[in-house]
This record gives sequence, structure tokens and C-alpha cells, in this order.
Amino acid sequence: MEEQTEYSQLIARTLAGSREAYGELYEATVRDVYRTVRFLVSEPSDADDVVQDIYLELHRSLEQYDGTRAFKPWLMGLVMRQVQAYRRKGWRQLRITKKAEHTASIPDADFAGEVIDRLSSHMLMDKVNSLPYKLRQVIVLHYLQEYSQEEAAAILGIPLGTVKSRIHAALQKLRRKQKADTIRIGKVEEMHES
Amino acid sequence: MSLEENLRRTLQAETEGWSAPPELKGKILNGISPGQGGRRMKKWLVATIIAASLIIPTGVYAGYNYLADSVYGSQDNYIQNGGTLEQYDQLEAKLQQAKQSLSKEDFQSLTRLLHEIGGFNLQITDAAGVLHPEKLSAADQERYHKLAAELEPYFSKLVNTGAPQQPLKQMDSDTFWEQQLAKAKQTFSGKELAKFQQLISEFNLLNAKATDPDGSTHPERFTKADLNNQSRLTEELNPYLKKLGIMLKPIQ
Repeated sequence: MEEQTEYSQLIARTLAGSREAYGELYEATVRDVYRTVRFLVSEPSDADDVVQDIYLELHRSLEQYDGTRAFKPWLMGLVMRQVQAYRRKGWRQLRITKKAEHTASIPDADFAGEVIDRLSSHMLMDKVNSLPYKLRQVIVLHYLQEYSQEEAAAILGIPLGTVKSRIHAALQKLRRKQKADTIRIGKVEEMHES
Repeated sequence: MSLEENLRRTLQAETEGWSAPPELKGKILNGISPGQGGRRMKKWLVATIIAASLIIPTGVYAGYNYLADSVYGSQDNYIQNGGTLEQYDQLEAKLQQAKQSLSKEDFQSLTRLLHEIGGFNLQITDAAGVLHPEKLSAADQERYHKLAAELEPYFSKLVNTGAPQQPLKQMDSDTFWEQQLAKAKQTFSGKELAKFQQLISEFNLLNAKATDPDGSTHPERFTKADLNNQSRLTEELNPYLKKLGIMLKPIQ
């Protein structure tokens, strides 16, 4: 795995004292780390703090990284633990994410199809954001970072069965809400056509 | 489109623009202490060059046990690759101390590990003696880190014992050579033994020239011819000595 070799080299150089190498490791990983954190903590400025803490902690823990394990998932495990620590500390008040009633702005009514897509995308995202934290954990790992359910279980340190049931529960909730909204959209269309 | 596929696409699209602010990188790099990372690699070297008194008999030429050779292959190897003679001696001394303080099995395990990591170190050291594990292949690096991890408990054992349990004695030349002769009698064949004894007497005679009764050495008394002789004798002696497990080296 080429990616893994690249990580190994950067890690080795970092352990040998190269700050530049750690900068490169940061660049190679921050996109996924940042998106995961921001998804889970929802407040952008908090996300910055948490990501900073993650990379400081990572540097301290690199010595313990066992080269036989894949680096990315190991890093993700660290990310998830740091986010959980942040939540426990309760740094800032957790904002309650906006409910599905929030209407997204509709830019151009002509492209009805695209608009519906964009609207439904926003709506779906809002629904995802309103899911309980434990469900959002598995969502971000399995659907955004695209880890397998087994990998997600290893990253979170929970049984595979728990991951499966949480994904199932999440999809159920999303389906239920989606159905309700579809019906609503249908009714709106009907109203305007008449 | 299934819900799952929709979910995937939605998440990708909605998070597409999310990126860490550029100043975050600088904050992080300033926040780390790179020395922390280097500590691990340095620990290996430091642990192996902790000073201890040396088992080196007095005399112009000193014999010593080449335990350190078993780690780096030979003194030449080590020095050419950035170690100094002093470090080599210290490594040697540390190994002697280890031999005394550790159990037989422990010591054997230690030397086995050291031998393997010594092989790697020879590959990855630069002219200044700094180790660059990143030069190794991915598989080798894994092995290297594993070795370092396995060695750590031995090093902490040795560091904790501090000064060697029994002070390592400095033998005088005569005693040393007596010991070697005794060993030689057990190791060499008749012919070898005779030749060895002859070389030794020549060697000691030569060295006596530059040694005072009080044991102080004065190599400056050697003439050019003497030095040539000394080199020749050393060359001839070394194969025998190697069989006995020692090597000759000049005192600095």
C-alpha cells in the first residue's frame, strides 16, 4: 500500500525529530480529520481547537504507533477519542442543531429538478445533524470516510454488532423523516399546480 | 437512488468546502517540541554509550574483548560509519557491564537484538552518526521499531543499575597476557600455540621499550622501525587473538 509507505516514512522522519515531516503528515491527513471533527462538533471554531489538540496529541503518541497497523484508521481512533473528550469537558454549550423544518433558500425555481435535489440534500444533511451523537459517529465513519463496518468498529472500539445496529437505527430515522418530508413536498406541488 | 447512496453523496457534497484554516498548521508545528520525537532515537545511542570503566589492561597496546564487534561487525565498521572510537569503547564497556548484571539468557537475548539492530544502524547512519530510519524499507522500519521497543526494557535495567555492580578492574599487562596464554593453551593446536607465544614475547619486548616501571607509557620512544614492527606483529597476532575473543587496539 503506497499510502501506508508514505505515512511510515513521514512518521519515521518525525520520530527522528523532523518538524517538516510532521507538517507533511499534517497536510496528508488534515482534510479527513477536519471534516470528521467538524461534522461531529458542529461549531466551526470549536472544530479548530479540537483539530489542533488532535495533532498535538498525535505527535506525542507517534512513538506508540505500532507500524503493523494501518495508520489512517489508527489516527481516526485518536480523532474519535479526542472528540469524545471534548464533549465530556463541555467546553462550549452544545448548540442544538436546527431541525428539519428549516427551509433552505431556493435559488432558481426554473431548474426544478436540481432545486429539489439541492433542497433534499440540505434537508437530508439537517436530518443527519439532528441524529443522536452515537449514530452520527457511525455515519461519519461509514458514509463520509467510507470505512467498512468492521473498520468503524475497530476505530470506535465497539463491537461490530453495535455498529450494525446503530447504522440500521440511523437509516431508519432518516427514512422516516424523509418520507414525511416527501409527502409535504408533494402537497406543496399540488397546491401550486391547482 | 438508495438512501445509503444518497447519504454518501450528500455528506460528500455538504462537507466539500470544509477545510482547516491555514493558520492552524503553523500553530500546531509551533506547539510540538520536535526534540520529543528525537528522544526515542537518541535514547538508543545514549543507552549504549553510557560510560563505565573499561576492561582495558594498561600497556601501550591494550587488548579488549570484542563484544562490541558482535554488534557492529567490527570496530572499523562502526568508526567508518560515524561512531567514534570513544563511543565504541563505551559501548564495549556497557556490554561488559550488561554481561555482569544480566542473567545469561537475558544477555544472550540482548546481544542478539543488538546485533540485529546494529545491522540496521549501519545502513541508516550518516557521516555524523545520526540515525535515519526512514532510509529503510517500510518492512524494515517496522522491524527496526520493534527491535528498539524490545531493547528498551534491557536499557532501563542497565540504566537503573547505574554504576557497574563490581568495579571493573584494570588489569596489568602481565596478568592479562597470562590469562590469554592460558586460554591459548586450550584453544590452539601445538604449532599455533608455539607461534602465538613467540609473537607475544616479541610484542611484549617491543612494548617494554616504551613502558616505564610505573606502568606509564611513552609511545614517542618508538622509532619508525619499531612502529613498523609493531604493525607487523599486530597484524600477525590478530588472527590468533580473534580466536581468543580479543583484539588489539592502541591506547589513545
